[in-house]
Amino acid sequence: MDQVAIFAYQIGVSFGLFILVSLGLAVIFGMMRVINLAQGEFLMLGAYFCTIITQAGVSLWIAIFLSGLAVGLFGIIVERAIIQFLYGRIVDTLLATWGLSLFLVGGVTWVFGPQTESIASPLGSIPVGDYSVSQYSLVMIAFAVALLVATYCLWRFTRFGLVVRGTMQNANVSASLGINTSLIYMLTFGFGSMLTGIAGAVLVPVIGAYPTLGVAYIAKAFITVISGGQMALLGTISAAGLFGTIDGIVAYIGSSVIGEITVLFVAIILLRLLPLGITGKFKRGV
Amino acid sequence: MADIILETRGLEKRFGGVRAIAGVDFKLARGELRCLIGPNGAGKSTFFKMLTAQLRPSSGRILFDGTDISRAQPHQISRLGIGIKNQVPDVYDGLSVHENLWLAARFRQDSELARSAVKTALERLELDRISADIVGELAHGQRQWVEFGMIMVLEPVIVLLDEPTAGMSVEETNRTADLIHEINRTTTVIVVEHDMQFIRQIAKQVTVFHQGSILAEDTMENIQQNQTVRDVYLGVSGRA
Amino acid sequence: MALKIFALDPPGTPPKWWWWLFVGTAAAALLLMPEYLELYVIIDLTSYFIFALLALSMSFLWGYLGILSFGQTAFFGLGGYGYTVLALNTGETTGSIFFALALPMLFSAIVGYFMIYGRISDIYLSVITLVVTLILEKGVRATSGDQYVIGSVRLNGQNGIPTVPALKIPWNTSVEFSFEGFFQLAVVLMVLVYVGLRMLLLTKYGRVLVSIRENERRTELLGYDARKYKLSAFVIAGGIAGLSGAMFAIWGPLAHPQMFGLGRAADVIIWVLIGGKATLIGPIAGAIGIEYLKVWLGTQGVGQVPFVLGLVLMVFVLLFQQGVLPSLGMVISYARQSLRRR
Repeated sequence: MDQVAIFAYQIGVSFGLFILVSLGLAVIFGMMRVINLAQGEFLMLGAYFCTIITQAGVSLWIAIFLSGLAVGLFGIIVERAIIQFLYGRIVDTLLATWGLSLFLVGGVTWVFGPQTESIASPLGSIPVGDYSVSQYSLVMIAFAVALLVATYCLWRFTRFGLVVRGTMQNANVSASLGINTSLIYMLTFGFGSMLTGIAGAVLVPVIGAYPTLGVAYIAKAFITVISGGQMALLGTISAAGLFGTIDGIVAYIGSSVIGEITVLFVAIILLRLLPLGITGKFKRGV
Repeated sequence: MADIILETRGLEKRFGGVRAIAGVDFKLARGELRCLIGPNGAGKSTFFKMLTAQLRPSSGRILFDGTDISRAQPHQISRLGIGIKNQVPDVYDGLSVHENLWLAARFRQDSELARSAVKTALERLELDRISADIVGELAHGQRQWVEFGMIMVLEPVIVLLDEPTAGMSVEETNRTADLIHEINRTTTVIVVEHDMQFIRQIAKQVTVFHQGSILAEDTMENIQQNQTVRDVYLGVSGRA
Repeated sequence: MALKIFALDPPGTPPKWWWWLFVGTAAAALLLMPEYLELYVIIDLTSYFIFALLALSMSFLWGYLGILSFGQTAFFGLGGYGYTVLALNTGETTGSIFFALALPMLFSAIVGYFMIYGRISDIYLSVITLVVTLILEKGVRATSGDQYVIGSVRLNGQNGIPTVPALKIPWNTSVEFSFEGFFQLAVVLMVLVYVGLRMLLLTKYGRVLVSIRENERRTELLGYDARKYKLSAFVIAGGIAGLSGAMFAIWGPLAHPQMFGLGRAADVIIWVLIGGKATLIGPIAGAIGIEYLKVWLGTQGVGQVPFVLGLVLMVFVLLFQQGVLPSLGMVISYARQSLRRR
């Protein structure tokens, strides 16, 4: 029984992690079709902001919120300075954001050094039979689900969400309806950045903050969003569910690296079978 | 019974809940010049894309000379001898006119034959003076002819043309009509068109599409007399 | 306009006599270099020429077929590790070089098959190749334990394998290549691959590759099986990258997980982008120039080279699309035209 609980817990954590690292990318790449290779560095920045703010004595929960805002703002600056010139030039976007990624890794290493900055996990652990489960991991899963639900509701039930979805499907029509599409792109990019920033901050107590943190998670994020296919959110959920389960099981039996390699191969075979991703057969939507 | 080169049986294409093509049975004899017409959204383009393997049918079969091609890959379609001209000129914009035709000719022939085939086609289409020009920098009509040339050097058994005169001047349209007649001397041709004037110029047999199925199939004269077809084109079909 | 200008290296047209003269002279001059230069310069230059091979594999795919493969480092790393592990196990170095060609080719065939025959779009292919190399890096880094042994060789995880055997002369296996000899080998390989690719692009095969870059659907409608062409080009490029990796491991001598890493992958992109992807000679110049620049930045005390490279990459994408050499060519031909007009 305990074993089953631990097993389920492992899968839950895996799923939560996949959701956290890929949700922002699902907005920026899945919806906006901007291949942002610096997305991992947004995660890293979120982690650093959170570390700095908590070290200044602010509580972790407020720090998570502030880090999200800070990275969101940073995303808006990036959109204005680089991305806005490159819409429709998909390869150039990819190269420029890669440049940004190197720039940020280099810059952060310069300022903070290569070592890992860590903060203490604020919650203890609860025993499950012979095992113990960290409470913070459960918080992490809760955050993943909450962000997911919040994003879904924003897109689905608000006027802003409707405008965004319309603009992403056909910017010309939106523009002709009097919508400032440039502003919508900027805000959507900022929102995606914010989600990633929050994710980075949430992960800090578990993984710490270090300059190459983004590189460690970018692969996971892209696999999830690409495999998800046309419908950014639903696709990301289903891909995260599938990969989280596989990763959880394999990591439970073997090691986390083997888990990740297994996920990669499953993803590549999946794309051979479903080139448009899991939700490729559906029409485009949220 | 005539020699049937292309046939579809119960061909259907659904997009979500919409049936863009709803069970089309279509037959084409060898050597024919057939025009497909119909109002916007009648399903002509969808039908055309399925014939050329650019879209997969939801159900039904496409038979080319007796072989089922409904699940073939685009390159296999071409190898069977089907030449395709899409609505938007589908050429290599970054390469020269000569290189465009060469790529088409070189597929089946050795380099000596390919060179002479390209030369013949260039002269026939009066493109020889601009053969070194980059196709992307040519006028719209010229790019269309480059594509015609590519299809001609492939020496296909059947040629499928989607709106070949789109965006052409009257003079260019007339030349295209001549060209189609010339191609038809040795090849079966299907033309999808909007321009009724042009169809009168070239058509022998006409198939009318409406709401995803075949409404009528007859000679141009009879089609022009057909009351149902008139209603469809005047947009009052719902009344009947 | 821009399409007409491939000033140094027009693809698809047979090279003129002066091109042969240029290549011949350059090769001869490079081969004679050890006579005149200090040993440490020769050793540095060797690595640049090895990188030039990697740059060629990338520009062949990106510039001519239109596929941006971030994962050339995956094949680079596999080549390095493939050579090292086999040579350490068998003591046979010439055979191991061929293995370092074959292994990445096999791997690229498998990965390429799934991507290309799955008809995923080119941009997804870019991202997936990147993901593949990142995960390979992670995988190799995780092999530090005693249980990760191939034959008699420990993979050593983070630390890499520092005992890469030096290359022995094929016809006299008791003698190892000297530094000068190895330098000359790198020059020969670079020139051979450069000329080989240049010739390949003249053939029907090469011209079909270019046509796929221009308009893949049209190529298929002409009867060519584009997937076959793409996959074979991907495998060829994988082999070249693997060869480069084996040479680099020997040069080290070190087979290290960083060979798969993001930093190296970024280098390759930058070489090709800055050299100009529409030529073959440009990326060679890019590889040599940028690697030299990096060493120079290092000696100037700029600690964070990625910081500078990232900045360079962003600026280039936003300002110079064609790369330095073609941009220069464009300026020259523009100047010539305006002179003529006078």
